[in-house]
Amino acid sequence: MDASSPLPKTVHYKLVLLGDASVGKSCLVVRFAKDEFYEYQEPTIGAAFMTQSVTLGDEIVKFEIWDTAGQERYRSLAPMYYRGAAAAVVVYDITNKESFDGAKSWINELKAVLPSDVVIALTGNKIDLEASRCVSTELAEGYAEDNALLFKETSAKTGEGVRELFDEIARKLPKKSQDSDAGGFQVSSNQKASSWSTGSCAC
Amino acid sequence: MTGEAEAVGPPAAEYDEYGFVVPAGALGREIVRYKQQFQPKAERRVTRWERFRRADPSLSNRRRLKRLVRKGIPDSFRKEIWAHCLGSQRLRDANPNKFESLLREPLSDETLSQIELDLTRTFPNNKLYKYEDGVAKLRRVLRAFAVHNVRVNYCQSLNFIAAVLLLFMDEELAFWTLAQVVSSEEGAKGLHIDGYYVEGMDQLRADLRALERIVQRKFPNAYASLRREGVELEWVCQEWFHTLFSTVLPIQTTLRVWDCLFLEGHKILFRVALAIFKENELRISKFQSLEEVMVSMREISSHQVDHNSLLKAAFKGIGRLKRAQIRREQAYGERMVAEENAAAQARRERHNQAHPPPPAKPQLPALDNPGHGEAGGSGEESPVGAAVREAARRLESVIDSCYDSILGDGDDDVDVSPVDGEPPAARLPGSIPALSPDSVFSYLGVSVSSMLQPSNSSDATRSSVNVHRGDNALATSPAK
Ligand SMILES: Nc1nc2c(ncn2[C@@H]2O[C@H](COP(=O)(O)OP(=O)(O)O)[C@@H](O)[C@H]2O)c(=O)[nH]1
Ligand SMILES: [Mg+2]
Repeated sequence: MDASSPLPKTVHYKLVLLGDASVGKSCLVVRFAKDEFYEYQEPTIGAAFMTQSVTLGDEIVKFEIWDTAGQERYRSLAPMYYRGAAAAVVVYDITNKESFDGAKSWINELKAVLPSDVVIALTGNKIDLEASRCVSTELAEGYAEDNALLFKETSAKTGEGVRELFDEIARKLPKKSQDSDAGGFQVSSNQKASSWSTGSCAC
Repeated sequence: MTGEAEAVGPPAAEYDEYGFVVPAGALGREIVRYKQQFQPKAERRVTRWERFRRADPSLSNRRRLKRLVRKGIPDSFRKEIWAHCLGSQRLRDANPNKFESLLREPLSDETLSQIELDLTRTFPNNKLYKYEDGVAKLRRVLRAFAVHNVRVNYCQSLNFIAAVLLLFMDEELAFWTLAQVVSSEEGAKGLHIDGYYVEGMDQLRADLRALERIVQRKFPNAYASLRREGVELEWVCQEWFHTLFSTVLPIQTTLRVWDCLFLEGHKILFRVALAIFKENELRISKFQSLEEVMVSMREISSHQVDHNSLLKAAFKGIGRLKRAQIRREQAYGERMVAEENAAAQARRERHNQAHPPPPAKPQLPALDNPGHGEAGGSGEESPVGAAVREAARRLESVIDSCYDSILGDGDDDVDVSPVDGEPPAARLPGSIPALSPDSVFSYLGVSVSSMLQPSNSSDATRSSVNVHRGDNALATSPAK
């Protein structure tokens, strides 16, 4: 079936967005997937699913994106969605110091739970609101370096940095084995939480 | 919303009779077409209900009520019947000043701002919530509820449930009804799903595990298709349960589901979820990618326009589904969730030992829960309290099972059986469990002594109720 198709190969990666309520996770996804911005983004119950691709050389990286709910209480459902992710985008709002603490706490949780080759990107959103900035770029960048995270500042509203964020993630993802084109999908773990409790704290 | 039989036809505005914008395109046309097709049935329904209400003003004939409810409550009767089924009218009458006084109580800034954040984005496609008047009603219902139910406070999803209730009810009755939907205070009436909305959401997660096992058994091909594409059933079904389908089904269908849910209780959530699989089994079995599963499952639920067919599937098409079976699977789900929680806790501790915790906020903050304050802990109730609640919940479902063995457990037809005919004489006593205290407790699988001993487990998800029935079989069989 592969006869004469010089089509670029598509690889699928699961990506999850995490972070405090209202930092702009849903807006970031919508900006990336549809290049739009809604002031009244519907609340996310549990998680919303979307896809978007990035071309990388002769390869198409197709992100299967899980945008998780913001309310603190939904935190207990997050493992349901970040299980098996190849990449995680942890978002904070540069005008809100608490949301940066929230991001750190998410990063701690992810590092404790996910394998060490998962790409984690720390993202400071809403840079169009520079005047009300509370979290300095240096502080966040330093934290990201210490913890071996990708770091990017974005505005879902203007679109600044959004494309670059996902491009960089795509470049940093571990290459997948060539074979399985048909199934495509191979990221999500087929296991349940209860059976992957083996220590993954490789750090 | 009158129940009068008026001239039908596509609504003049693009709003439906509940104030929702009729969806554009094929779906909208299908909804309008189905409404016309259903109209004669809807009219007969109204006549029947009028006759029933005249003959039995106190709604004492439960069997008759159940049959009529399964065929759908006419809009003009919904408010009254929902409030009756859930006991919210009684609560309102018994507590005439409660709603107003709850509204005078303070709430934390966090709760207030979360509610505000959600108000403008709750059904923005409904006329009522386009204007400040409707939004203000919703605000007051959610605030009163947050004060009233300390454990739950406010959780996203409740905004949608309250918003649908307000389409039929005034604020005060909507508040009492929401209270009864989430966590009943009125004996055998109402639901007990507060565990869907509290920190940890253990009950929701357990129910999803239970549903997964039942789907796997009843629709193995559909289930296999999801798993083949790497999809967890809970990704698809979490929102179904959380908002009681109100954000996933067309409104007309949601209302039919709620009619039954409010009278018959929790098991209806399972029946309807299974019915969605049943109605779309073939299509689901042929999915070919994860993306297709996720996108199509959303589309499938939003296209359940033929509510009569869905309800028929729920009560007949999916076959037998005993309460006892649901209970067993729930017990299995509870164990899985407890294990998951324990594993997560252990991982966290291991990680924290390797990396001393940063001075960030705690991993699992206490409930936003002022008046409930025992020192420390996660703000959960004591294990004994949990055990007693659990025992009460199970006792209720035994009583319900007794009803069921008299009424037939949902296998009656939705639309075919003659409503006014005599009940089938068969199926009467026989299967009702004898209710001596001993047998009740053993039936419930509750170890009384364990309820009375303080448990030293601090894990909030573990009550000291032990469920013995069928555990072993369930724990080991992969049901293939
Ligand atoms: N000024 C500004 N506002 C944003 C930006 N991203 C999101 N918002 C706003 O922040 C609010 C929350 O966004 P949302 O995406 O729903 O947050 P989520 O809870 O993290 O998913 C909305 O009112 C958005 O309009 C941004 O880059 N700049
Ligand atoms: Mg969101």
